[in-house]
Parts: sequence; C-alpha cells; structure tokens
Amino acid sequence: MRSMTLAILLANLPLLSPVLAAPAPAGERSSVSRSGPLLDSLITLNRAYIAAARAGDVATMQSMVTDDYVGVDPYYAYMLVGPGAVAAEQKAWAAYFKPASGDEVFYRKESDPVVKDLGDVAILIYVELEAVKTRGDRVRGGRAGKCSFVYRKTPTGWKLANSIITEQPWPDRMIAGSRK
Amino acid sequence: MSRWSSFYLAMPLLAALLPTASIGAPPAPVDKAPVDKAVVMQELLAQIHKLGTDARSADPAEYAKLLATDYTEFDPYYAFMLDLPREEIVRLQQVWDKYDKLPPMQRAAKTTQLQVYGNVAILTTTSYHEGQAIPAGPMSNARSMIIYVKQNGQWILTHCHDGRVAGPDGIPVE
Repeated sequence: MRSMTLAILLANLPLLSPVLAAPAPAGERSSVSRSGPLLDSLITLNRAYIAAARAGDVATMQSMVTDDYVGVDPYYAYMLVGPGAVAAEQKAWAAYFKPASGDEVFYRKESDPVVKDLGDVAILIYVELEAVKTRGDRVRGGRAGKCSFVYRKTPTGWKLANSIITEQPWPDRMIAGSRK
Repeated sequence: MSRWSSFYLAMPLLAALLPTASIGAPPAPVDKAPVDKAVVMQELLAQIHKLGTDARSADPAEYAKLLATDYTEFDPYYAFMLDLPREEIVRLQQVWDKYDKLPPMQRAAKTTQLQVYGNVAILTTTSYHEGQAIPAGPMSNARSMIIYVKQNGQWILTHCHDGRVAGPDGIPVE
C-alpha cells in the first residue's frame, strides 16, 4: 500500500513541480543574452534606424521611436528631446557618417552585441566598430564607440526609447589615463 | 557606476534641478498605471546617495547589493562591457577610487531626463567637466544613462553607461 502511494506520488510529481519549485528571487534571473530572437530583432531594428538616419529619412526614424524618445548626438553630449529630437539626430548622424572634412564611414559592425531583457523594456548593448576613409578613398583608420540602445515594447512593436554612444577608450589610455 | 558618474558628482545639482527640470513626456498609454515622476526622481536620488564612493569603500559587499545580480556597465575606463558578477565589478570600480586623491574635477550637470516604464526607470544626464580626473588631459562633455529596475519596493541599478562623447570632429580623441 505504501509503495502504491509512493508510486502515485512519483507519477504526479511533474504536476506538483510548479508548487515544489522554489520561485527564483526577484532579480536573480540573468536578463543578459548573447543570442536569440530578441537580440536578432533589435539588431535588425537598430540597423534600420541608423540606415534611415544615414539616408536622411526622418519620417522612418520618427516612426521607430517612442513619443518621449531621448536621442543622441554622436558628436556632443547634447540630449535631444521633444518634437524636433529625431530631425536633429538625423543631422547629427549624417555629419557623423560623412563629416565636412570629407571623411566617410565605409564599414561598420556591432561587436559582441548583447540584449538585456527587462520585460517591456530591452537594452541592446554593443561596441560599434567603424572604418573611415578620406575623400581620396584612402583608409584613415578605425574608430569605436560604446552603444546602449533602450527599446520599449509597445502595441505596435519595439520602439527606440533612449540611446547613448560614448567614446571607446583604447587599452593604453585605459590604464595610464593618458591622452596623446 | 563609474567614479565620475554624473550622479554623485553632480548630485546636488540634480537635486536643485528637480523642481524645474523637464523630466520627460507623460507616460505612454501602455503604462498600466500613471507614474508620478517627481516621486520616482526622489526615490532615485535617495538611492544615488547610497551609491556614493564612500559606501563602496566602507562596505563593498553591502554596496554590491544595490546592484542587480546581472548588473552591466559601460564606463569611461574599461574598453568592454562589465558583465561580471557584481562583486567583481565593485572590485574593478575600487581600482579607480584611488584617483580620489587627485585634484577634483569640475563637473556640471547640464540636463536631466527621466523616463519611467512600469518597473524600469531610465535616468539620462549630460554634463560638462574639466580639470583632471586622471593624470593627463582635460575632460569635456560626458553623458550618462542609468537604468534602474524596481524590485521589492527598491530601485536597483541594472545598467549604467557613462562616459565621454566623441571629440568635436566626430573622431574619438586619442
């Protein structure tokens, strides 16, 4: 009899597992992923947004951001907010990719991208690597920036809510703190 | 949170800005309940007090508890994202605390923006700073994005991105 009771209990164990399993304490779950559909989706969105900026397509950019979007000026620490934020950001991006000096970014990629899934908010984090050429098609060199793009889930899909790009320190300066 | 994060270097300025600063547009319709951003800002400022460097040096283990277990950080010193266990990140942050003995930087918060989406709060600041934080070179414009998640009634730091922006010509200053 006892063995039958034990057998029934064992057979139903999977049904009890949600009850028996201790819930993970809030915040204990790692929200960081280096692969998966969410990361792929946000990278695709992010590339489309930057491509629209580069092409001067403010309308597309506007459709991809939240109403309270906090934009980025890749040149300066200006915070771009309000109705004119996206248009201002587009101009900044255009100058960033093709400044008046005649240089041009001809290659870019996201290095080691990760996504931080916070539910209705997700953060796309990566180091942007770029190669720059001069007006005479000579390779000037590379540059890099650290990027955090915050997306918010809305009824019409993920929308960009906030973005930041900051200078990438190189290893020699990281340690010595020196600037040539 | 890096040594020169706007939040504790410019904290008095943030507090002064609070009554008049623009702190973002009204919550979007998908929010389940209206959010009083002034209240959230006060709660974040209280948390920022706890995140000062003094707290880090006094009790690193307690300090680490103010960070999410999966806390991540981009700061001005390291050329990669810090996604280590939070205790390790605190240890790395302490490396930079030795620069406290250097002449202080002058840093002024220029703007502050708060967005609140449910249990996630995003605080963005820009600042201008000059002087010497590290042994060479003047500093310039900086920007910070600090993201908190509310857990068990407390705002916990989950991602911090703090650093200089590129130079005026768009090319990072070398």
